[in-house]
Amino acid sequence: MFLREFFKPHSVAVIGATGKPGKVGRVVLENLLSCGYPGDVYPVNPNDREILGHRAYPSVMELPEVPDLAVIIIPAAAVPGVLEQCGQKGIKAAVIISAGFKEAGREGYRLELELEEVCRRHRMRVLGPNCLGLADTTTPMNATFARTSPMTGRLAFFSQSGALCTAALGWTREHGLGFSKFVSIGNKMDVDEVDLLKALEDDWHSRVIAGYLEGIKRGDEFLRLAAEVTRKKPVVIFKAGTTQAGAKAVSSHTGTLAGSENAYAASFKRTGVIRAESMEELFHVCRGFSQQPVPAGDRVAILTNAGGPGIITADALEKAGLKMAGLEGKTVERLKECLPPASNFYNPVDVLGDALADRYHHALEALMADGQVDSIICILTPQAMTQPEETARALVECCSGKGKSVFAVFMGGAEIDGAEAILHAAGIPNYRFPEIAVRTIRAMVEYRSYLNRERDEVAFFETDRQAVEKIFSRVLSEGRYQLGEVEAREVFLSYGIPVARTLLATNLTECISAGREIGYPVVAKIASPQILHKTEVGGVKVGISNTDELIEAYEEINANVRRLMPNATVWGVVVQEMLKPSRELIVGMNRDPQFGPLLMVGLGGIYVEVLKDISFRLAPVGKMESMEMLKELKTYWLLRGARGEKPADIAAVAEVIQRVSQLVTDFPVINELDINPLRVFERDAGCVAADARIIIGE
Amino acid sequence: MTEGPKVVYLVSEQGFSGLHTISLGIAVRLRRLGFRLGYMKPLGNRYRKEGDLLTDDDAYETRKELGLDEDLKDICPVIFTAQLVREALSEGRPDYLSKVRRAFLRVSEGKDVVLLQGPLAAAQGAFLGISSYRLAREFDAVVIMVEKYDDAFFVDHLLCARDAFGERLRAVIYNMVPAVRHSFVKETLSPYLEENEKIPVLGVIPEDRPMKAVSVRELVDGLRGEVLAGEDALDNQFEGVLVGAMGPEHAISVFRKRKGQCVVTGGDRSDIQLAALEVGMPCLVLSGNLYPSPIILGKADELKIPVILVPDDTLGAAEKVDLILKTSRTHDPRKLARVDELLDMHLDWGRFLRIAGLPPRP
Repeated sequence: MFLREFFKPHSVAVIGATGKPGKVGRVVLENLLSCGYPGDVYPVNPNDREILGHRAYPSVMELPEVPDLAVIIIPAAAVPGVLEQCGQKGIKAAVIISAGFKEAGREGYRLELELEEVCRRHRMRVLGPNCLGLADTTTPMNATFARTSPMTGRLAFFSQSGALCTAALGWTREHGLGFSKFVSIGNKMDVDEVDLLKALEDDWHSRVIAGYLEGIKRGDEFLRLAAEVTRKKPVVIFKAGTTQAGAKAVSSHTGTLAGSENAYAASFKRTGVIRAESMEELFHVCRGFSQQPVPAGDRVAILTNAGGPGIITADALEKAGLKMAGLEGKTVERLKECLPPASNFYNPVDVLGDALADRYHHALEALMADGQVDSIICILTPQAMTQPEETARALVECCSGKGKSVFAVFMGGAEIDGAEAILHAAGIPNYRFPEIAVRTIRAMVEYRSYLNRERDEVAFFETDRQAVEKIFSRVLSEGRYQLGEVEAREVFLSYGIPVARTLLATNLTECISAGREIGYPVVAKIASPQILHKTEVGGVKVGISNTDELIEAYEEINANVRRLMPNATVWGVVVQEMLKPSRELIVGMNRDPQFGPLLMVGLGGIYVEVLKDISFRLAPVGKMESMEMLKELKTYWLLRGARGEKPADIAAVAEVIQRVSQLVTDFPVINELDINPLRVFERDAGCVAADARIIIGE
Repeated sequence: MTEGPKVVYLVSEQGFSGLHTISLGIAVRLRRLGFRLGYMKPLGNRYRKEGDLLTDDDAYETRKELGLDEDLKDICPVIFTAQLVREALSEGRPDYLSKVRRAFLRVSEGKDVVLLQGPLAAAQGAFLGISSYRLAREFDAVVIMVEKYDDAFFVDHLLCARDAFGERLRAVIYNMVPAVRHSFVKETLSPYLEENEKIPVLGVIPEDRPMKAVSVRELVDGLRGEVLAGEDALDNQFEGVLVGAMGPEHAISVFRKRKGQCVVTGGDRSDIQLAALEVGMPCLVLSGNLYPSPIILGKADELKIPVILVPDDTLGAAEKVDLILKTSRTHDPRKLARVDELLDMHLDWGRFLRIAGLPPRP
């Protein structure tokens, strides 16, 4: 097993162990000694001969054997020295619980760099620093300083926040959620989320992997590995710092850029990682995955003893994109036989307020047998005669271990505590409100559809790579990062992406001859690296039909720009062929610091920022993903043709997306790229880039 | 050479045209060609205090660079200060022209050529009786204008200067010409000026990034800021200033487009600071005396990017940085070498010598 020394160490040294009450070094030692850990534990502390009845050693060097794992709880300044000793002793894994590193200022930052160097030199693996420690309930081993120890279960959990770990332990205990592994990753100096995914991938004790993250360090490897792991088991992640305020908090807290929210969303989509929208959802969804089978499909049956909650649940299902199961005829017949006539025999099945456990029993048996039902939500509201505990038992008896996923929504307060305990003991998650049960099912169904998805084949197009290389190296050698429109056009043409004919005129004489060469009508646009929104500064003139008009346009554009942006560097005026009327899209790419090229497509032209009808994917994309990108847009329905309009050439757009994807994958030097607008003509007539922008960097 | 030394007067009609840089480059070259060279800046406009002596920064640095023996008081006889204005407007004002004349006699003695550098603009000093127009007549100088290329005034300053200097204005050097205007200046403008106005264009010197760059050390001095991190990277060069007030999602994109610029942002904008560090901008100026998050400083140390704290508000700090950039001088040896390279490639030296009346050199 990868990282075995952390999870199944044969022996553990606790460096900084102490008998003094209230010290972290004591709590860690106590946890290790009391959790039933079968290996040897060596307290290390130069000031004590014996700690909590165990012989203590003055230093790592004097230990009778080389322990598998060292847990370090000493002041930060002393950690590099001790880690060095661990390395010399031959210890291969260490957990550094101590704080006072990167998170604590310049000196701490320097110390952590020092630690990193020691860690690399001795080829050790290090968890932390600045973490709560880790626990493996299957070993069992608990090397945390948490007061509550994790319950045994099927969830492997890691968290970038140590404080959240302790909070989670208490909460999950209350909700009957147990852990296989429990890891606080702290500053992620060495061991990070990618390592943990790799370690947990084949761990049969862990049915679901969950994580709380503020940022992902190695984007590429995360993408590659997460895609593999999710094929084997679900991975649920709650990513914090998604808003501007949150991202700023992350940056000052962890010293890492939060990364763009769109890139995270795209990376999760790409890899099938399930994204929790809140901490609460993270654990509820994990309860679903760790206790219930993944539903075969999206059809849900609701069983309830009250109309209101049934309706609420039906609403929630539809909003979540799930389906109300249509019951089979024979199920309805069975329900009619065993329920009073006033019941509702269709989905939601209402057994009425006076229902005792037996009605639930009959109805559940009928629903379990229905081939049109993929999962069941069983709702109970406590009325005067309701039997919560008996009903819970009926639910366990009918549904447990039968291969269909079942979720209980026993609503209320203390009166259902007993029933909930029965359900939790049997591994049926109970939710006090229906919406969260529905969110759980949605996450599980999404995971199912990810597993059922075909693989997207990335096409390879013949292109002229060398031509592009030449242009880029020329631009960089001139100390520029932005390509001119004419240069950008050459790049796109080399990759088979059609661009309107474009010439740069640096003075009026050149402008006039450009107009003649391209042929009227033409468009004239200001060419300036500083002016991104040409229309706003009066920098665009369309429909120019002769030389006189072109001269006038040239004057007007230059005058407008001089007035509104007097300090802008003006390269000249770009003269471009005038394209016939068409629908407009934007296709772009922005290189994300964590995940690389993030492709974007959306409604183009000047409304892109207003309507924000855009969708994202990480490159490279194949035909399937490029079509998915388009289908996510509201604009897609415009492309299909609204009210008698002819459909646009959607296939050509999908191809442009794929070609751009190949271009930005081939050239990591491209930081940003925009085709706005991409003019899309009617079916089979193709599409043409009217304005193109490329930003490169070393 | 039989008669007195040749006098070449390099002037400009607008500030920040690179006049001092070009003057220094030409002086260095003339010396290398073996001419006995005198240098003067008759009217000092860049205040500098050297010990007890009040002088001009350009004059001081040029003297040092060329290892001139002449007294600084002769190299720059008149310094434009508030006190000078007061003195000049009072009764019994000194005769500044005589002062310059006497200094010139001393500097020009035994020289083949004397290079005069004008002040900010040729008209400056007219009320003292020592405008460049007046002095050019006085010393019978060959006037060569150094103009920063400008789309709006591209020949206007030059033609007005010709009206003022008359036939003495013999040539022009266009400086800091953007790449996209190079062919226009060279192929359209130059032949026009030569044929119609009889003003030859001696050089078309392109805008050059290394020349525009300033070291962070110079910035720290100019801003009087506190260096919080990255002390060992003060030799980093930057060539522009950028205000970091955008949303964090735009920051990376903006920085990538304008690498090599100094980023000015609030001390509390850790998102912007991090983006700047991540892209590898050459330095960070934090405004408002707001101390940044400690992790930023550690990271800046690691990436070797200086972080400078200043009390000014963001806009004020950015304006200061901009001014430091514009007024920065050329005394860094790397820059001097670059000037030499640029003048070698883009200045017609044979013609320069002919116009200056100096004998050709191999």
